[in-house]
Amino acid sequence: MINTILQYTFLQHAIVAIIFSSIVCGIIGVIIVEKKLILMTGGIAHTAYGGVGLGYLLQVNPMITTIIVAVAAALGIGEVQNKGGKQSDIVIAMLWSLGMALGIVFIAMAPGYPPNISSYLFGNILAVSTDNLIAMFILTVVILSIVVMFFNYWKIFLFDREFASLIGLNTKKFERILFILIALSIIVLMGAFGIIMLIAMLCAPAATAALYTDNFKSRMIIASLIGCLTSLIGLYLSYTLNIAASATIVICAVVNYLVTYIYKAKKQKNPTKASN
Amino acid sequence: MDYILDIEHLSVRYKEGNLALSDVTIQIPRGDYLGIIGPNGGGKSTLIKSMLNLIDHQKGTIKFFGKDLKSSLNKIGYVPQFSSFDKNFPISAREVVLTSTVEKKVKLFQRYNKKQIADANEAMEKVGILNLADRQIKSLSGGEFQRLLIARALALKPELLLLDEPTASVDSHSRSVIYDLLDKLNQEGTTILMISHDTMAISSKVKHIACISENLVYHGTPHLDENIVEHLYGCNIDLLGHGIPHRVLPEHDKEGM
Repeated sequence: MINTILQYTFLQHAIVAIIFSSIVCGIIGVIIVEKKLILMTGGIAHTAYGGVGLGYLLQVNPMITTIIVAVAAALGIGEVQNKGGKQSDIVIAMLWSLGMALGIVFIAMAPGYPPNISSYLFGNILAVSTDNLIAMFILTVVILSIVVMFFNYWKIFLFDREFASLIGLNTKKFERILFILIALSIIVLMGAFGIIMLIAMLCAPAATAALYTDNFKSRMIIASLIGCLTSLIGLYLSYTLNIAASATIVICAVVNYLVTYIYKAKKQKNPTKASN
Repeated sequence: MDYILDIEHLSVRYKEGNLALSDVTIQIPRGDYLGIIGPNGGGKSTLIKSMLNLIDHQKGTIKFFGKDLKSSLNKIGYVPQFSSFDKNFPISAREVVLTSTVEKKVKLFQRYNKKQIADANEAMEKVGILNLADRQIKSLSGGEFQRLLIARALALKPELLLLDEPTASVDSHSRSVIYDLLDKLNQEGTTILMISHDTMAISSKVKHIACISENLVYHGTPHLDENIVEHLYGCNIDLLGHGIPHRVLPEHDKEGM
């Protein structure tokens, strides 16, 4: 395996992509799992597909239009969630499909040879380009540093927003930045896992880490490590069994969660047996 | 006279448009210990939340220490209802208390210093949960969690303490710890405003009582007569004090019957 990695750039790219994705999944995944923002994240990801189409239509780099649309969708959906009350999930579901529909229409209208839609839907970790890796790197650094630099404030904001505003924090600003970070995470993960599967990568490692620790910071670190490890195992399996890499990685991440969950549940039920 | 809290002609509407509070005027002098009672949905929590700008109000003015809320935030301790919390959030008791010692100005890589940690420990000591400081909040009982929220407010060293149902669904040990603590804080000079459904208990603890049912029905010494209770609760008298409502009322005398 080591020789093969050294031999093929696409495998090296895949491994670097796994590292960046795992960091993002660890940090942002823990937040969205804890704050139950998963539906919202799904909404942003699918709406962002409109941005992919827009890029092809306007013949600019789709990465740029996708970032713009994803950030706009994140702020818009955030606003809907704040104001909409019970209506918000209906609006999110509509935006979800609307974004996909616009993406398809834009691509159909775009001049020239149409891109491979399924690479955006399901991603391909073996086809991550150098440009894409550079973008992933920049976005990962942005996400990591914003969370780390203001870590204690994030904790205050996420735990009790009302109290955060009472001690003078600008909670509206924190919320907007969080939504933008979620949008950027989606961009990081989109190339490797696609719009449809990236949700699993955001949820599974974070949910698994929650079974191991109740400390916020450790949870993020453990989630990143779990994401990285399950992804590498998935990559290895896909290579030896010759099956789709991104899908295998997602399956590994989810299976790892299920196995950990069952193991922990059994241990809790029967603590003496597990310690023997 | 100088009031710690001066609310004039406050009117608040719910999101759906119904009136929650109408023309409430209430002044609280320094050192007061005010209990706010009233029926469920009568606007008690709305009053506290609109004071703190957590809910918008349509009419009226609210002044703390003669100034607006923003310039008084560091003197006000707020204890929300604990039932509204997500107790699964991964945070320890000490971290919760520390959050109120954080400086307003957002700093990069903020870390809590020794003084902040000492303040947090002192606040936890006061409510008797210092031994639980390193526990995760999800392992705390309802009463312990409520005391933790009080400790968080105390870590600010507030001059005014606002509490929203601090004794609702807590165990009896925590309840007596909370009442004793509030007593002591009030004697030391903290002004206290407490919402309670527990009419019977608070009438023997507080200095003044205010009854809110959309309007301010009564504000004065904790000595209720039937007229006020009647006005406040209408026929829903069983809402009062868990089935023993008459303990809050003076004894009926024979001639009156």
